[in-house]
Amino acid sequence: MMDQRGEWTRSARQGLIGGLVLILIALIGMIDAFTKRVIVAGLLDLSQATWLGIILLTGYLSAARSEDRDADGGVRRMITRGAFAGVIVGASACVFVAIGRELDLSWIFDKARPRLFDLLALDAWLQDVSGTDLRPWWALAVLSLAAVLGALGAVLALMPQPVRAGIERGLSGVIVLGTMQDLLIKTDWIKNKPFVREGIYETLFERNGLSPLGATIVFVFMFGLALVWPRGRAAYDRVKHYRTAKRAGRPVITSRHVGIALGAIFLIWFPFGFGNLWTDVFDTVGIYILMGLGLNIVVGFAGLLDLGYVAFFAIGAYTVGVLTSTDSEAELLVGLGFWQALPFAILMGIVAGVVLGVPVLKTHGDYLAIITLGFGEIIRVLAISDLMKPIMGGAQGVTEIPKPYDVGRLELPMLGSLEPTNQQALYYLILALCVVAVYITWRMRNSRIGRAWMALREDENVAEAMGINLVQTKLLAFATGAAFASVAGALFAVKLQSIYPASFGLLVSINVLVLIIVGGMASIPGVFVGALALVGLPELLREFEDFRLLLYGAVLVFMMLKRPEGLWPATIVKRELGRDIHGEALP
Amino acid sequence: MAGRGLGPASLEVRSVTKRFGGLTAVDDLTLSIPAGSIHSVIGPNGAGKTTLFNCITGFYAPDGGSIVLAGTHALHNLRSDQITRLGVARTYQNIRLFPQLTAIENVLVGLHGRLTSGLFGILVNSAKTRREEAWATAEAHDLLEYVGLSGKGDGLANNLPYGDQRRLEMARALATDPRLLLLDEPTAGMNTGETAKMIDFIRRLRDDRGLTVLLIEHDMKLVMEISEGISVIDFGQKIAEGTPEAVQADPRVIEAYLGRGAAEVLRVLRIDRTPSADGMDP
Repeated sequence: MMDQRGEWTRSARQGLIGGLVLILIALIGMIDAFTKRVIVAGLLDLSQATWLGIILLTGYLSAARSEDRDADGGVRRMITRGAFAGVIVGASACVFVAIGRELDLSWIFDKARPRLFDLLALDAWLQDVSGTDLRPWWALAVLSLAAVLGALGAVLALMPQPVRAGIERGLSGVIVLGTMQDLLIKTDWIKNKPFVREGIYETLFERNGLSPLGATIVFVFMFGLALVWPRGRAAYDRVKHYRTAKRAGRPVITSRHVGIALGAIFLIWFPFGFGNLWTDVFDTVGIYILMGLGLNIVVGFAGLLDLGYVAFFAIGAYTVGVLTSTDSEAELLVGLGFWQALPFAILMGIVAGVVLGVPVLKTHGDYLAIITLGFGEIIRVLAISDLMKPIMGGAQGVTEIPKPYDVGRLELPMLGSLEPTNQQALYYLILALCVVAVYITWRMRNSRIGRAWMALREDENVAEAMGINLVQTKLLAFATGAAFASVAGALFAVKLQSIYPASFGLLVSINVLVLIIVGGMASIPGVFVGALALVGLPELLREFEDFRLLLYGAVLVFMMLKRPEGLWPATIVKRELGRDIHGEALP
Repeated sequence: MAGRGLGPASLEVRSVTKRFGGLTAVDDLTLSIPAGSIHSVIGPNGAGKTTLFNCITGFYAPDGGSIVLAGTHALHNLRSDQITRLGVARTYQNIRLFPQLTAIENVLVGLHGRLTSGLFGILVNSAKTRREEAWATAEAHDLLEYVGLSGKGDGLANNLPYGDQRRLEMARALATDPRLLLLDEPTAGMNTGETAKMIDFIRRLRDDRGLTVLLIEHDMKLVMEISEGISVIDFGQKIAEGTPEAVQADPRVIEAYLGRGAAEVLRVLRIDRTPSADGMDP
């Protein structure tokens, strides 16, 4: 027999947590900021989606964590409890609104303005949806809505897995497309192709947000997609590598190869289809991917926690900046081209990696982290110092860094002539260097060097007793990581055309570290996923920018608790943690 | 790439001393192990057996004395990776696998020193690298099969059952192509049946692979059955040495294990020559 009282208490607790989360994000201004993103025209904007989503999620969790399912009448009880949890969230919000409307809280919380309470009371929304003025009974309306949504959440949790995955995908598809609307309309592909604009775009979207019909289409499409293509099927398999290596045979084309080919075509077409805004964001993402791949070698493979990784990024940027700057007022004028300066940048990075590596050879874990942290700061302080001012320009930085290319008209067979813009040329440069970096990482990982790194991560003493030269292996990891970061720095310098010490703070190191943790330690696709999620999304959705660090914190805590293996873990880790391809825990 | 084919190596430990602060863990210890033999080091807990192993394999640098492999290679000034490349491999008292690597990757790490692909060859995936990787993978599979783990190569080392982890550690040690194998309590935690199998396995290993085997072991049945020579150490010093029979009869050995006067008591009670593992090791 289930402990019924315990279950109800738990649901109440979940409801309270949900309510507190809602109040918290309202007070820091997220709800307010999100009203500008309309998801479905006339129906739902992002702030309302967040508000209602929290209730739905609370109901879902109250049922998903329950063990009541197989008991007599358990299903009915679980749905009731979902509604109950939802009502608790709603009630917390109502109490908050009532207090906020009576007392002026804005002298403590500067976001607690009347507008916020109107948003939380869902005044405008309830009127739009119901067509009547519900304001006198707002509390009742909110509570009944919360009960319905909480119960729906519980029902969702009770559905069979494929249906649930489909609904999850469908809802996220609608939310993602809705929030991205103004970015989509800025893409050249949609703007300039009448067929796409009139045929597809205008069916799905209204002036602001998805049309109700469009939302339905997206939902059904994503739902169907989830049924035919379960999550995580395409993950790379390290194990398979060794298994297939034994029986050599003709190479076979698998769905993975097709996926890679499609991805490659998309990435090459991307700057022409999506236009400058997106290309610019992807340039930044690409620079972070390069850094992520490098740090992934140092931290993910070799297990050397490096918190001063930004130092190598800065070294690459400054080397290229100083060597190529055309600023006639600078005291040092070298005037090399980008391609002449790049080898120097890589070389400087490698030298710096070794210089940092030698003194820390004997240190591990926390000590290593602190030393590298210091190293990162040393480089930044040097850049800003009077000592290096003649070369590195002090706080004024290095300016007038020329673009790395001068592409004219390209005559391509079959495709006709192309005239890539600077933006596009930079994108291809970054893409090409990312491909090279992935290739290097991939080759190294599946070699004796990669295995030596991983052995080092697992147990340094035993690794040495296996005949691995610790000094060489560690220095190679530091040097490779540093080389990747200095290439990223070089690209950063020519992308912005001017660099300042302020761009090379500790936060860059932390961003890169967080992105590989979120993506999945020691996973190459994980670096891409992590960079897209943590660098790409905030760049695209500017109102998130203010909450970036908060989101990082929340995401990190969530990842550590719920998905310590990362979003796209190295397959072996995923398998051994007992998840099947649907991401469900196996019995 | 292939085995070095040099056959078993002898080991000379001469006057080795290792101190930790005021404690002398190994005290002027001299051992001589002939090539191709199975030799055991026994002694009460804390006698310095594992410290001796750590000195031989380069985990600790001895404070004095010399260690010579096969009469020619001085080991006492080398790092442990260099010692491994000369043909010394070991297993650990408390298993130390690479837990987050798969079983086969563990063995492949053991093969590291026998592979020679350089950075450039790896990056361009040269024919030599491909050949070497194919050889290494096949060799790793063979080694897993040899220790009885065929088909278990793809699981994380951490998730293997205890006995399999011991075997995997053996396979990983064998992968370095040793001439001298140091086994630190290979039967710890095993039942009688498993211990009997281990005795056969160690013999087979020595004969198949051309090894000298140096054992630390508390299971006296195993020690007496398998060893061709036994050294007994206590407080870092060697107190007895010889064939199993000679060592068993030595009163200093019995004293070291059971305390002063125990030899006398045993003789009076005529319970000689049957010391059991349970009585000796708490």
